[in-house]
Amino acid sequence: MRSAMIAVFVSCIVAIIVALSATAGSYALWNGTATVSGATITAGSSAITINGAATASPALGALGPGESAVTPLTIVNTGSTPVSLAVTGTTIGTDAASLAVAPSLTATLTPVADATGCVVGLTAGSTGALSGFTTTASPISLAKGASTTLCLQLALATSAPSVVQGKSAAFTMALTGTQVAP
Amino acid sequence: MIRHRVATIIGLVIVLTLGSAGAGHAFWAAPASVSGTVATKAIAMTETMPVSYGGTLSGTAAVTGAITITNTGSVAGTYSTAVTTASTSGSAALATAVTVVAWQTANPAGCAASSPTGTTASGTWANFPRLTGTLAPAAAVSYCVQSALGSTSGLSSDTVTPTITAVLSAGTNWSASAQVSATLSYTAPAPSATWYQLKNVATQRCATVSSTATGAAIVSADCSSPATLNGQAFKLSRSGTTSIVTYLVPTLGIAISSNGNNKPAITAVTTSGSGQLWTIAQSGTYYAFTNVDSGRCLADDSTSAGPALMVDNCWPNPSQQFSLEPIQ
Repeated sequence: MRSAMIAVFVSCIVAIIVALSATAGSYALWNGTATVSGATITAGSSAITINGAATASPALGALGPGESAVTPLTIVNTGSTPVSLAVTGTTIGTDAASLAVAPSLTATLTPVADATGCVVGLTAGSTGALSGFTTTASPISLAKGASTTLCLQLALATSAPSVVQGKSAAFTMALTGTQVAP
Repeated sequence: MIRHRVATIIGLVIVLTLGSAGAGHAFWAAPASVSGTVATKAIAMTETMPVSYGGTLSGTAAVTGAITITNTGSVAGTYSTAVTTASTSGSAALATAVTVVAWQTANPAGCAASSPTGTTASGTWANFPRLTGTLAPAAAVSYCVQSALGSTSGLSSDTVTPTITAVLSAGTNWSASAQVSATLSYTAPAPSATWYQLKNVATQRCATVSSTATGAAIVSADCSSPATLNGQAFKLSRSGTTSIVTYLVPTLGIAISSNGNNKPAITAVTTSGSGQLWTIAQSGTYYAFTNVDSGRCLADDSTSAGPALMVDNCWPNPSQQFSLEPIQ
């Protein structure tokens, strides 16, 4: 009986040690030692805005074959922790026009100094088909309260079929700010 | 013993549960999104002819018109023209004989009074170079198009209708097209001599009036030499596109005896109607005489001197071709 209790005790100790070692990153964030007297502990938060809102709806000019349109996206870290920015997915509208046009669209997301640097022809950053677009370049770190500008460029392929004339494609690009250690 | 194992399993479960919690549980992800639409443009164009490039070609006088190509779509494009022609005769001779010059103009209405300037494109209506360029949305380009006859040697009366088709393209798959047409006509001048022998190409004999009486047959006879004003002397009197072929007796001309196939040609009073009117089409150095009334052709079907000339269904045969041999 006693040996059984010892086994349980040892197992629990091992579990706690392993668990704490596996969560070393966040554990380290709270690893300070101090005496807090009468204080209120508030949980941290992560939040970002794009052009001042959680969902941005920028205006993009119409495209002909081989043409591109750009729009600047100003990202602000409004949370209490630093974040790493990445586009984690892009979906296309399910209507017939969106599905017809989307295969001819390419997206490029390029970090720029400010909105005036967002011009047609940028090639740095991440490029790929608009449908399913995600960033492939190194994530951008954004400190608490900081902002950065990304230039979203959409291009219509020179080989776009004739049937896509006069149509429009709806898309939603998910941008995620993931907390990182300060 | 069993309790030992249970305790060990409980311990491992706790280890694995806590261990699998991983590092991520302490990080937050903040979502945001870009929700937008992107529209596509469209291609469209018009081609107009502010001043017709058609007309009557005569001598070296030029006929000048204008075309205007307008980008009525929302996307910039590249335009290119192509020319096709059709002629009344089915021959390309007139299209080949007409030289064409085109040049850009800001005043298409004034093309008739202007001369080629700047960069020009030149050729013939049978082989005209492409007019090319780019047009922004709502932009237009106009060209003066000037036609003139070069050599008319051996050229028959005919009309030619050049069609200029313009295509506006964007990318590899977007295009729009439009076209304009105009008709150019050429009337071969009447032979300048006063009197002619009508010498048949097949028989090498001459049309001959058998008698000065009205209704006398026109027969095939050996050509007189030297030519004198006799029963083989005819005069062509052109009026518009038709002619009367009169004999020495000015009131008598070659006519059909009946409005059917394979009927004798006779003399008749020249005021009696379209049975005496002929269109004379030149082909090389020869002429074919088509009666206006019957639509049939003067022919020498004889195998020896004597038989009457006939008016037969037309076909391209030397028996229906004549050379005009000037007498004086």
